[in-house]
Amino acid sequence: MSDDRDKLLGIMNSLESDYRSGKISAEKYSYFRSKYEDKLNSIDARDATKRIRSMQGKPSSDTRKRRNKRPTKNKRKQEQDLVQKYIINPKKSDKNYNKKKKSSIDSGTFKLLLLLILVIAFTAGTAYGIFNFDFGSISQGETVAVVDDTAFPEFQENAKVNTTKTYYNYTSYSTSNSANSNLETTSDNSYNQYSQSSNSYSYQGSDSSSQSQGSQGSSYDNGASNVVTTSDSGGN
Amino acid sequence: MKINVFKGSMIILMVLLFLVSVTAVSSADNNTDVSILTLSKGGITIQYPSDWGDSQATSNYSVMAISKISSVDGLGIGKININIEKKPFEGEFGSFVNETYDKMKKDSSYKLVSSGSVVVNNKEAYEYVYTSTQGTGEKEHKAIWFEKGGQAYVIMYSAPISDFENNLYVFDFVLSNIQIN
Repeated sequence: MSDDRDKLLGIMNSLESDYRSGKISAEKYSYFRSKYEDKLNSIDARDATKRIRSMQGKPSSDTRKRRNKRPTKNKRKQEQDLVQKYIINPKKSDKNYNKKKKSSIDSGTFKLLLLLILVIAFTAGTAYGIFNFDFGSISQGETVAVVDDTAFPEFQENAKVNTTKTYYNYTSYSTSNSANSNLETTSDNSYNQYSQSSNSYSYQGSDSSSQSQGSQGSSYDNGASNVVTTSDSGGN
Repeated sequence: MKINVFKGSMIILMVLLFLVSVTAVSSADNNTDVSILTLSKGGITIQYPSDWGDSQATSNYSVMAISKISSVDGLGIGKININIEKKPFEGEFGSFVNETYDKMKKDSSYKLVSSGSVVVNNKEAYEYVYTSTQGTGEKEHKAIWFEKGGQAYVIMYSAPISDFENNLYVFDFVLSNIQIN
C-alpha cells in the first residue's frame, strides 16, 4: 500500500516539475493534481481503516504479516493519531465529556439516595396504612342478634275468636205472648247490665252491639231467657 | 463535601420519617372515635355505625339485617333493627306494595301511620310507617320500598315506639349510603 502511495507522490512531484517548467498548462496541472490527491487520500483512508481494524482485533488481509512485527514507536504514534482522528476522542476541555464523567462518579450516591428514599417511603406508607386502617370495618360475619321483623308478615284478616255467653234473666213479663228469647251480639266483654221490663228493654253495654229479639211484646211469666253472644276480637 | 451532603440528606430524611410516623399515629388515635362499618351481602352494600352489628333475620326474604347491639335482649333478639329484604313480584310494583298494606289494614295488630313516596339511591320509592303489636311489644316500623330487576326491595327500620325517633338517624345514614348492584 505504501508503494502505491510512494508512486503517487513521485507522479505528483513530476507533475509539479512539469508545470513549473511550463510543459503543461495550469488547467491540466490542477486537474491532475486534484485527481492524484483524491487517490492519495483514498489510499490513506484505506490504510487507516486497516490499521484501526487490526487494533480492534478484527482480521484484515495483511494482519498476519503485521502480527509478526512489533509495532515501532512511530507506528504506535501513528495509530494513536489515527484513533484520535477517526474514533471519538473528546478533548479534555470538553464540558460534556467531563460532565458525564463526573455524573458517573456521583451516580452511586444518587442511587443510594434514591434507594433510601424508596425504603423510607415504603416504611412510612406501610406505617401510615397500618395505623389508619380500620380493621373493624371488615365485617366479621358473626351475627349479634336475631331479627324477627319483616316487611312481608303473614297478615291475619280480622281473625276473631267467637265466644258465646248466655245470660238468663228471670224476670216476669206481663204480656201473655209466647216465650221469648232476646239474642244480643256484642264485640266487647264489658257487658254491664241488661234489664228488661214490660215490652221495653234497656241495654247498657259497650260499643258495637247488635240485638235480635224473637218477638217483641210477647209475654210470659217465667224462664224468659236472654242470650248474649259476645265476640272477642284479636286472638291472632 | 459529598459526604457532608449525604449526611445532611440522611438527617433530613430521618426527620421526615419521624414526622410522618408521628402524624400517622396521631391521626390513627383521632379516628378511633368514629367507626363506620361496611357490610356486603347479596349485591347490597351498606355502611353502619360500629354500635350496630350484623344480624340474622328469620325472614326468608331477608338479604341482610343489622341490630343495635345495646338493644339485643337476653334471648339474642334485636329490638332495634334494620332489615333489608327482597321479594320477586309480578305485575305492577305499586299495586304489589298497596296490596301488602291493604292486607295490613285488615289486621288489627297493625296500624298504618303514614305513607308517601321518597327517592332512594336515585330511585322512586314508597315509604310506609306503621306500628305493630306483635311479638316483643309495640313497635314502630318504617319501610322503604323500591323496585329493581323485577324484585321488590324493602329496607325496613323497626324499633320500640319509645326508641324509634332516637335511632332513626342510623336508618337515614344507611339509606343515604346504600349501594345495590
